[in-house]
Amino acid sequence: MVDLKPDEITAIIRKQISGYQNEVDVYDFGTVLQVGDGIARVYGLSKVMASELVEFPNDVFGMVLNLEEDSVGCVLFGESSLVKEGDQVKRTGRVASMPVGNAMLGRVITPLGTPLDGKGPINTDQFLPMERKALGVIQRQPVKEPLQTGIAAVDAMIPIGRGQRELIIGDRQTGKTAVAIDAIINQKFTHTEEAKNLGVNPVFCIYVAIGQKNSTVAQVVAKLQENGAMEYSTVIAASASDPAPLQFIAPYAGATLGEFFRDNGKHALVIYDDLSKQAVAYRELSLLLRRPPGREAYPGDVFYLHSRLLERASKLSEDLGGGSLTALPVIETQQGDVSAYIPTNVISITDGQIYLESNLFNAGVRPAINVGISVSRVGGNAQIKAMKKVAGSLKLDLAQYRELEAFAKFGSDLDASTKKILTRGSRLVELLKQGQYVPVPVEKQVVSIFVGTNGYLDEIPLPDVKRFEKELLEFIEVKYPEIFKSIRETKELKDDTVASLKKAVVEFTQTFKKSV
Amino acid sequence: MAVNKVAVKYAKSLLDFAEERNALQTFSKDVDAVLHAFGQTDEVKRFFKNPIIKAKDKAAVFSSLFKERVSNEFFEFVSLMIRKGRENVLEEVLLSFVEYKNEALGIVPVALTTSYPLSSQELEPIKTAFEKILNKKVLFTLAVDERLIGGFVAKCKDQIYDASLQHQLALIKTQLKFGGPSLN
Repeated sequence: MVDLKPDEITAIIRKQISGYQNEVDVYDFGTVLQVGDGIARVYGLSKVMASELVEFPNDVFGMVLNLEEDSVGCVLFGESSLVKEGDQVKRTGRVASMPVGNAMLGRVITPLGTPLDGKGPINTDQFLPMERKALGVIQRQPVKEPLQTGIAAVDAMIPIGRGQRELIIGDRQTGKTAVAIDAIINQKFTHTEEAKNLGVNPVFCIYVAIGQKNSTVAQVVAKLQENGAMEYSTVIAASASDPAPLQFIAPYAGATLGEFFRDNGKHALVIYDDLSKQAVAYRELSLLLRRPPGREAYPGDVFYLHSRLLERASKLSEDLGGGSLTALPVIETQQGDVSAYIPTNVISITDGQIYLESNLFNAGVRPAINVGISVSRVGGNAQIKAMKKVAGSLKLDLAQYRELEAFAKFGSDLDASTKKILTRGSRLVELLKQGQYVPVPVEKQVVSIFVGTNGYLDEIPLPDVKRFEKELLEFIEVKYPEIFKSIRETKELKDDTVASLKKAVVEFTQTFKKSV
Repeated sequence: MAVNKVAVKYAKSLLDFAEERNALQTFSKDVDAVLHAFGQTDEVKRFFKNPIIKAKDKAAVFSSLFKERVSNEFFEFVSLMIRKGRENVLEEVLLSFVEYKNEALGIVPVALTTSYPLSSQELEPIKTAFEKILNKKVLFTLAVDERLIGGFVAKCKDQIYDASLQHQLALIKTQLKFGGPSLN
């Protein structure tokens, strides 16, 4: 314990009070007319701005959403039981904003920026408004750097670039969050000294949990901590027990924090998990504010709700520092119905989508990505050359395999070429299976896919494919480390690398076959 | 408080009528008389709001209560309201009338709360100061609240001028807690 003299304490208190000015405090006020369900109608507040923060008694804050003829509709960010009819409401003169800064990293916070992890106050003095207009055309540039997720199926066939918006969509229990968490964990490499030497800029991650169980959020945080990913991440949590308004603003808070990194020339990845729950929260408060319901009872501006959020993801021009904000929104579908209102909206806004399917999941294909209908509209430009080269035939091989797969079930009387396609396809599907929380670096992905698409796996029995891949990668790591090094550093697959890779694979296959 | 749209319409037409007849003084006196009666006992208010009592009875009661005390025009106005079945908003109409009248005359009602009853000597400087700030005549409604400890709180429409010790202590509290009066 440090010795503190009473004098020092007095001095500190005096210093704090000295900033205090004794003046008549003039503020605008209103009176609560009606309160309930997280909504308050307020009379007065005649000069209040839309989306301004207002202060209720008992430290409850609210945000003005409706400006009506003789009342103001506010949503409450705290317990509505703490606010009573007739209470005084104060204007703050500030639109809803949140504190931002590097101190947010490693923390679990509410959408208003207050810590939830019991690690003490967060020392930042910068505030940014939650609702900000997305950047225009001039400030942007096309997506060009890759954002490696560490998931081979994604990085090879549905590549994501920094500044892209890629939707993760699927039914419940299909591993949507797992894909997102793997992507966060894989950014650990970008924070290493090695990445710096390779010219890979660090990616800061923000995970926004909307309407989830607190236990799930705790699990995610624990997993991130376990994998050392919390140091460069922030978790913003508006759980199922939080009022709907908090769930509604949570993604905007995430985007604001991401923009802080982006505008400082850094790179950020923000995951909105999930936007269907946010839409539900927004529907709840819209209906309570008596806005007219539309399709599926969502208000008319539910498209704008998501488009203005996702439009904030961007890759800045070099003049503005070249930072980026990548968004991975998550949408949960019901029974695989992607033609529901919210899924179609978000599909149309984003630059591609990763479809996860429950029958694939149950068949043991994990991550359960349906590569046939998953697309990435801009990520191709961001893929490294080596990956582009090997993954080119991957998508085609898999498409042919899927086409014939159904036929193969009817009989065994197949011609040689069909059999070949089926063997190749089944090996590739097996190859793309991957465990959770074990992201694979891109150079290893390239080697694995090279082996698969060049037919080296066709001879290997199906159950041994994964073991073959694992042992091959270990073998190359030990015996031919220059292959990985060359891919990592040049980002290309040069002819001499291909030659030595082929040699290594042949050499390894011989020893492997003996063990089968 | 939030006003009924019907009340606003009636109040505005009453004010227009009064100005037309140059009878603002008499009318406001009448309105004050009725409001005073309403303020004194809850029964009168409830009687006029009660939808079960017939309009005829309400008119009779109003007549016996106020016929002698208010001007003819004003009596006719209230009778009209009763005939139209709008007597339930009578109080709101009168309150809005006072509000619009004050606005027309350039008077601002200010609710002044202090920790102890002020003498007129103490009140005078506050009044001149407010008239200077608002550039209008100020009509004080006084109240006492010991919780303020010292100073005063003045409510004027949507604005509060808070110079109470209670508020200042609260501000110091937040400053000590967060190093500055801010959210979060």
